[in-house]
Order: sequence, then structure tokens, then C-alpha cells
Amino acid sequence: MRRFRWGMIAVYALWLGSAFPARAALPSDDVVFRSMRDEMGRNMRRLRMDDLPGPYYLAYTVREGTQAFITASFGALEGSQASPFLEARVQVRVGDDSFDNTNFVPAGFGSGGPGLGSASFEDDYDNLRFSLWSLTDDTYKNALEAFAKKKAFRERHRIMESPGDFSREQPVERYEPSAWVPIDRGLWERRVRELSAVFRDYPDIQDSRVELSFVSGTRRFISSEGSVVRGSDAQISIGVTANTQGKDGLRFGDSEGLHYPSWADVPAQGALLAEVRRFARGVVDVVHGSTVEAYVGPVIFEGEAAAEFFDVQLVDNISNPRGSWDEDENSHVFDPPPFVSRLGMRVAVPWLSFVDDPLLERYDGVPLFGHYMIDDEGVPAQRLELVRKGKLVGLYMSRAPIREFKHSNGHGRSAFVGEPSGRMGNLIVTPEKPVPLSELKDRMRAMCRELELDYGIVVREMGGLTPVRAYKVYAADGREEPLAGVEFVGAGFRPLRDIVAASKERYVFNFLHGSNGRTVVPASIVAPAILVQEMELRKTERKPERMPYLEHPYFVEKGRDQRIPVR
Amino acid sequence: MKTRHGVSVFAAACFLCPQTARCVPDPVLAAMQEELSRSFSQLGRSDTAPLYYLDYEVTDSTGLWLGASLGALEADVQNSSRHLDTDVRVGSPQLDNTHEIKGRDSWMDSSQRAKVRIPIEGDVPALRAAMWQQTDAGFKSALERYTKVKTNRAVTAAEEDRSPDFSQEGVPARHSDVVEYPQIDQKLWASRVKVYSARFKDLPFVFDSGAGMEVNLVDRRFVSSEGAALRTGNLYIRLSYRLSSRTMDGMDLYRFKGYDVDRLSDLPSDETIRRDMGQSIAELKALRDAPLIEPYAGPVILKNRAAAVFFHEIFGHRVEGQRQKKESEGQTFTKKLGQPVVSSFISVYDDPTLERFRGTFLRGAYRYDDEGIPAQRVALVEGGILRNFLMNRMPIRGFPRSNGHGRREPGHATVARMGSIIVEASQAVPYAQLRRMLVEELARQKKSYGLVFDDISGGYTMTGRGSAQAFKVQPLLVYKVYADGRPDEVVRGVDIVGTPIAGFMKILAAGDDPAVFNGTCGAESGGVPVSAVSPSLLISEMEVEKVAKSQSKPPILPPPYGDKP
Repeated sequence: MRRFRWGMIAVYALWLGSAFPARAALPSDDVVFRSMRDEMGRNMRRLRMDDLPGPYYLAYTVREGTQAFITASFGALEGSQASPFLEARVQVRVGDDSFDNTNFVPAGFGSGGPGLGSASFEDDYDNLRFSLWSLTDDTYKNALEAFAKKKAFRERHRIMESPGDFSREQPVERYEPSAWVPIDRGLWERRVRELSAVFRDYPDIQDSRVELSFVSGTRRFISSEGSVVRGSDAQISIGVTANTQGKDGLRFGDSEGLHYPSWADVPAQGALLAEVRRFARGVVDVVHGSTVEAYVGPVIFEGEAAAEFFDVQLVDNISNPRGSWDEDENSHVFDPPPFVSRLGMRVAVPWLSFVDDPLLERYDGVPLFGHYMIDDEGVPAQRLELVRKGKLVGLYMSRAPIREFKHSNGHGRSAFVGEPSGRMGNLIVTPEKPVPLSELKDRMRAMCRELELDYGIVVREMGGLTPVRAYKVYAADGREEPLAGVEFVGAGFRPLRDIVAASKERYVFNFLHGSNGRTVVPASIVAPAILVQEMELRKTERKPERMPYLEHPYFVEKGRDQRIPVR
Repeated sequence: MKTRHGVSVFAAACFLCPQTARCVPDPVLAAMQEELSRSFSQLGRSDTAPLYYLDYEVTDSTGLWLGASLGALEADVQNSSRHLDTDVRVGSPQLDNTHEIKGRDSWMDSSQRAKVRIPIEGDVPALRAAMWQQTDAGFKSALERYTKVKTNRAVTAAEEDRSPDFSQEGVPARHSDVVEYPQIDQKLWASRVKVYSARFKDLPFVFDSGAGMEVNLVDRRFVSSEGAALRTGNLYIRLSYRLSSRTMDGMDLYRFKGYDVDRLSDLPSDETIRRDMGQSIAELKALRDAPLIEPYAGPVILKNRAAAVFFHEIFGHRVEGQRQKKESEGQTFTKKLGQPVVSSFISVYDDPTLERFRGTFLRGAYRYDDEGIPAQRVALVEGGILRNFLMNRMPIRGFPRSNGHGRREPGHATVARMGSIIVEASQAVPYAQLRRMLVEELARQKKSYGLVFDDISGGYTMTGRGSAQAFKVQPLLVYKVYADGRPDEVVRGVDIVGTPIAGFMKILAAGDDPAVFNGTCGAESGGVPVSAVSPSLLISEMEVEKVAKSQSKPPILPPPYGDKP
């Protein structure tokens, strides 16, 4: 079954208007749409607070389906739950598209952003309309308040120029039949339990957990501009976490997320077991790893770490280019990112290109988690050129315009609870003259010898810009040795321009992308391994803790009695 | 003094089984005992400070929540979870790591801990792994805190109450009762709550409403290094509905009714529920149209359930043991022992051992508290005189032992809490007469009207010295009763002024109509199920004022149904 894919019919309405369309050709049997449309129509026509303006734009998103959550640790279930749900999001804009209540963070708690609520999952016309009515009312009042505060903010700071607050886009109409698939809970309880039992073979790991989270259902979106979209919503994620302490007592935690768009994409249990074992062995490597006092020299970022490198070095710097005015003014979380001012300038080595293409469903057969057809503002996804031959040419645009880009490029995204902003989908990193991975290592070893270093460093996993899995690679014989408790020093923006080579092999990293002050969105990065000329590492500043007073009871007994079965 | 309590190394066998029953060993209890016994014997020998007491409490919660609104299902959730609480004490019962930290550092002193989920299955290695980890973490933080306690004690002034930190109790409890999860026809109940919730449709003044069915089986296991080993359970079933509105001047109004039982067959008939709903709708409508209260001081009647909530909040929380000892507390009643605190014909006791009150289920019932101490009836007030406090295992001056009121929600440190607080009057009159007495009192005080509090809700605020000392009560439904015999009139926006403890001494008479309030009480050890029972009370004087209202306006458009599109 193909899911995560919108229907092929695209009927563009021919006008741009502010009133609600007369009657879009909604699927006649879709009660949810009917309820959404009727309540939106009534509100667009009549919602007015005293002599204040009514909304000039309304959007409703309704997401319904089944969600399940199964967790287990050390071979036993901790919880298993599945329940139907329906949640609604209401977005209200007051003012006009040149200046409205958005792109502004009012001071105080819960006074901005979309209205969120839940309603009956039984597709009940009255129940849903009632919830939308109540949410629209609340959100409209909040919008009026934010709008007034924003006007005051503009006065106070004498801001004259503005690129506008909301770009005009073609309304879109697109339907896909709902694709609601169930979860076989019994099966997955057994599987998750079995995956968690893998840790019974790893005495060096103190605490571990395996979680399955599942969502399947339908997402509907309508806006007062006439957009009507129905698509399916599916996400299957398996998370594995482990916590322990190194020999020196330093705490170490690691986690891995495996994400799939459909059951068909989830590997067989044997492969999942192998993956959990691989993860556990990696944790054990770190436990037995040594540290370095200081290191200055070449570093290879490989696999997941390469993807994380590009995330930190590029994606975060070109996301949400508009930023928001922050009434509190004491945080810079909502400032525009640093690369906005570098458009047209060189940000990476000239032989690297970066493209973001949410329309890509798979890369090399691997499903891409960042795939979507329509963004969260009802704008069709677009393939977006970000960096051409090292020069920055594009930014992730939502419908919040900036001086340089007046329109969305279909990257207005957020988690359900958030306000959409310019965000990534599938980032594809393409080097011009890639070399085999083995050659990358040879080059690093050669550089080490030249620099009179005993070893170089390869990083395979990071958390932010802190290495989680890193290894010494000895210059003499290429032997690897795990490292523990190291961090980068002063990485800045140089590294993208200090890449000396990239591999032919490309790795797909599926993850949930979080960005400064923004909610998480499903995303993918397809990246080669890279060799960076010079980076600086040092021993972590974190302090060790005392080891457990007693030994883990299972491994004590296992040591005493080998007959204890491992399920 | 270094007291080492005896450690029993338990056989993982089935000592808890009644002799007649077929014996199925409980792997969870076995895991608890094995890990506890290993930890206690080995950690007791630790380098820094001796571990002198350890207990584990494992709380299983199995439940169902069906919620509906306007005739459609909004929630259908089944849940089961298991949480572990570990209590670790280092030092000695005289002075240990749980001792209060006073002065400058007292703000850092929180009893809040993480709510720890552990496997719901009976897998001993997985359970023991979780217990090992929590014990280690608990032991480390106990050592750290013990060091702070000793330093704090050295640098701050001597305490008024120098009682020990942990009580010595009698024979550790060994007990087992296993409550079964009931057979529930989920489809039937889903359709019932839908039908109930549909009752509030088409009422344009109702801005939110719903009906729900909640089932929760709580199964607790407890073992301690003193040798306690027990398992005890409670089943809570609640059918409820709610409806709310808002006035043009921005005041939120709501009516709620919950039917609490422990047997499905005890739920009221459809007919009763429909009649109650009709009444709640009428009350909400009356409240919406009601005038605002003017400041008033004079006689009032607290109707039975309202009086019960009043006693729970205003009296009950102030006789919790820890409030007499903690230096940050107001200690309203600490020095009132043996003195009158309530009118002389009133007695108050808390009795968690009562499962029903005149046939009505009491949510506050339990057999053992969260420190493994058997629940006990505690006579708090006899003939108006304060006699006792609610005690857990933290002694206070004059009260060296627990009386089985140590309670908590998983993830919190245990403190003394109420179970079922019961107000009794030695003289009682029928309600009609109590009302006549109110009118007579109006004449005596030359007031044109008095107030009847029909419904009040409780809310936990603070009893500390640094803030207003009030477990707040909020009147929800209040009537004016006129001296000249005019019909009663609903008023809204009533707020009781100040800390109304004085009201207890001004109880003039009581009705013969005791009724049960069942609820969940929130305080520093989390939410615990409680009951409060009281007859209606006539109080000679209470002062009220207008409540501060919210700023939100009512919805601009009417609800969608019935409105022209």
C-alpha cells in the first residue's frame, strides 16, 4: 500500500479571494469536511468583536486516527496503549496580509499561536462543529490581543518597513482517500518485549528501554482562501535508549530512532534485533572507550554524524528565515537565523550542492521520513535549491515573506501543536567528485602522518555538535579505538568551508527535526561521509558520578547461575 | 543511637496466600522482597552513613476512561501502569535524611520525586533491575541530603519540636487482599455516556459539556526492611457529567456531578441521572441569570455536602501531623490540643476503615496506608475539643506513632492525609427546621436575608507561613433566603472572606441529613481519593464578598446547532 502520498488530482481554484468559496467540490460523504466548512463559513461571515475587525484568514486542520504506544524494558512490557483520537487546530489572522497578528511572540503564557483542541473521533458533525466554534472564538480573541500588542511593539520601535506578514498563494484542492491502518498490538507487544530483552546480554548497560509509537489516520485542512486538502497521516517509530556510566563514572546516554512511513517498510524482527544489538554494542564501546585531553586535526563525519553535521552547520542556519518579534526582547530564540544575510555568498566548499526535495519518497529504496506533498499551510511542496556550488541561493520559506523572498516554497511546516515556519523536508547533499569511503580514511591517515599525529578521528553519531560515538583511527595501521567523553571546541561556521573530501556512499538519516523555539517535524538528510580539514576536540567538562553501590541483580545471578534463560 | 531493625530474608514462597486458596506465588512481591533484602543487607554496610530503613511500594493502576460530548465519543482509553516508590532512610530514626531543611536553603527542599514506571508484567529480572536502579539512585540522594541535614542543623536555630524523624511501630503488617477488575460491557457503557452527553445538546447557554465513565483499579504492594509485606487494593468507579457556561461579564460557571461506587450495580438508575441532569441544567441557567452577590456578613447554612467539603478543606488539612511540626507551616491547631475548636455538640473523626456510610460508597476507604500501617479511626474532635492529629510515621511532639494516615500518589513522599473525614452532631434537627432556625436567626440579627451554600468546591492552596493560610473553598451554588418569606434567589460570584476557621465555633445547629462528598484531594503528596461526610450546618456568622472574575467574554457567536449558517 502506498501511503504518505497525496492524491494525484490537483484542481487549482482560479481566484484569490478573502471570502470563503461558494462551494468547493468536497467529497459528498465526508462529514468532517462538511462540519469544518460550515463552521468556517459562519465564522468568516459573522465573527466580529464589537467594532474590531473580524478575521481575514482562517484555517482549520483536523487530524484523526489511532495512536498506540508500547514500551518495554529488559524483557518486560512497561505499558501498552492504543486509542482513537481526533484533534483540531485553528489558525486565525486579523489585520491584513501586510500586517497581522503573526510573526510575533507576545509576552506571557499561552497568548499566541494556533488554537488546539480535541473532539469526538466518531466523525460527528455537531460535535466537531461545536469544538471548532469554541476554538475559533478563543483563538480569534487571542489573535486580537496579539495584534494590539504587535502594533504597540511596532510603534515603540518605530519600525517602518516590513516585507508583509502573509504571502499570497494559489489555493489548492487535493484529496486522497483516508488510509487508516490498524496495529496488531499482540504482535508488537511481543516484538517490543523481545527487542528490549536484547539488553540482557549487555552487563555494561545499566538502564535501557524500547518504545514503539504508532499513528495512523487522516489529516484534513481547509482555509478561508479556498484550499481543501485531505491526506493520510502515518508514522511508525521505534526508539531505543540506553543509559550507563563509563569506567570513570561519567554518565553516558544514547538513543536511536527508527522511523517508517508504513508497516511494509518496517524490517523483519530479525533485522530489528540485529539493529538493537548493534546499538547496544556501540554503547558498550563507549563504556570501554578512552578519552583524549586535546586534539587538533582532521575529522571524518560518517553516517548519521555526517547528517547531523549538515543539520547543525546548514539547516539550522537557513530555517525560519523570517524569525519573529519577541515582545519580551530578552531572548534571541526567535531572531532570523545567521545565514539570511549571506544569500549569494559562499557558505560551503564549491564542489558541494544542497537541495531539499520533499517530493522524493525514497532514496535508494529507503523511505524518506521528510516526504510530503502539501505543507502545513496548504502550499504544495517544492524541490528547493539551497546551495549551488558552495553558494547560498535558497532559504526554507513558509508564507512569512522576507525582503529577499516574497513567496513560500512549500516548506511551511510544524508539528500539530505549532505555528508553521520555514523548515526542512528531505535534504540531499551532493558532492561533485566523491571518493570511496575507504579512500576518505586513507586520506585522513595521510594527513595525520603529515601533521605528525598518531591518530585521526571518525565520528559516527552526534547529539547537537557533541560526539556521541567517536573513534580514534590510527595513522599507522588504520586500527580503530572507541572514544568517550569528548566535545568539540569553537566549531563556528568554518567547517562547511573546510571539507576536503566526501564519500560516494550516501547515508539516509531519518529523524525528527527540532529547531530553535520550534516544534519537531519529520525530516531526512541524505549525506555522504565527509573529511574536515581541522577541528578541535577536548575532554568533556562534565563531572563523573559514583558507580552503583551494588551490581545489577540480573548479572550477579547470571554470573552465579548460567541457567537463567534469556528470553 | 544506631538502631538496626531486623531484616527478614523472605522466602519468595506464598506466605501471603490464605491457607485455603490455591497458592499462586506473586512474582512482583517476590521480586520486591529479593531486591529489598539484597539491597538492605549490603547497603547497610556502606561507607558514608548507614542505611537503616528501606521500603518499596509498587502501585498498579488499571483503568478505563470513556468520555463523550454532545452525543459523540471523545475518549476511549484503557490504561494500565505500574509505578515504583522507594523510601530510603540513612542516619537513625532520631535524625535522618528526611529531616526538614530550614532557613535559607528551605526553598530547595522539595518532596517531589520522579514518577517511576516499571514493567507491568511479572518478570522478576526486569522488575528487579528497575528496583535496583531506583534503590541506588534513592540511596545516593539520601546520603547527599543527610549531609545537608546535618550541616543545616548545625547552622540554624534549634527546632521547637525535637521529635525524631521516624516512628517505631509494632509488628510489621503481613496482609493480602486482591481486588478483581470488574466485568465491564464497554460498548454498552460507551453508548450510555453518549446518550447522557446528548442531553446537553441544543442548550444555547451551555458552552461546554460532557459525560464520562471512569474505572480505576488500584493494587498496591508494599515491603519494608522491617518485615512488612502486604498487598491491598481498591476499585473506584465514577460516572459523571459536567456542563459550563460564562456570563456576559466574564464569570465562568459550572455544574458537575459524580456518582462514585465500587460496584457497577450501585450506580443510580437512568431515571435518577436524568432527573439530576435536569436539575443541573436548571441550576446553570439560574446561575447565568443570577445577580452578583453584595458583600455580606451574617448567618448561613452550609448544606450537607458543602459542609463536608468545608470541613475537609478548612479543618482537615490543618490537623495533618506534618503541619504541626514543619517550621514553615502556620500551625493553626498545634497548641489547641485539649481546647475547644468547634461548637461543643460537634465531633469529627477520620475513619478510612469505613467502606460505606449508610450504604454510600466512600472513596476515602483503605485498609493499609502507603507506609504499610493499618488504617485507623482517629477521633480528631470530641464534643468540640481537639483531641488528635492525623499521623504518618513522622512523629510530632506528643504523638510518637502513626495512626495509619500516611498517604501519597506514586512519585511523592508520603505525608499525613485524610481518608474519610466525618462530622457528627450530637443534636440534629430535620433540614426544614434548620431552615426555620436560619430565618429566626435573621430576625435576631436584623438581616433581611441569609445565605444557603448548596455546593462548594475545594482547592489546595497553601497553609504555609509565607502565604495566605487557606485551603481555599469556592462556593458554586448559593441561594439567598429572605427573612420575609419571598422565594429563594440564586446569587453568583460568592467568595468567602479570609480564613474561615472562626466559623467552626459559630455552628448553631446541625441537620439530621449527613451526606457523602467523594473526591480526589490534591496536596503535597499528590492526589489521593478521599471522602467527607457532614450534616447540614447553621453558622451564625460568615463573611462573603464578590469574587474576582475572569476577563474573558462569552463566545461571540452562539453555538452552531440551531444557529443560521
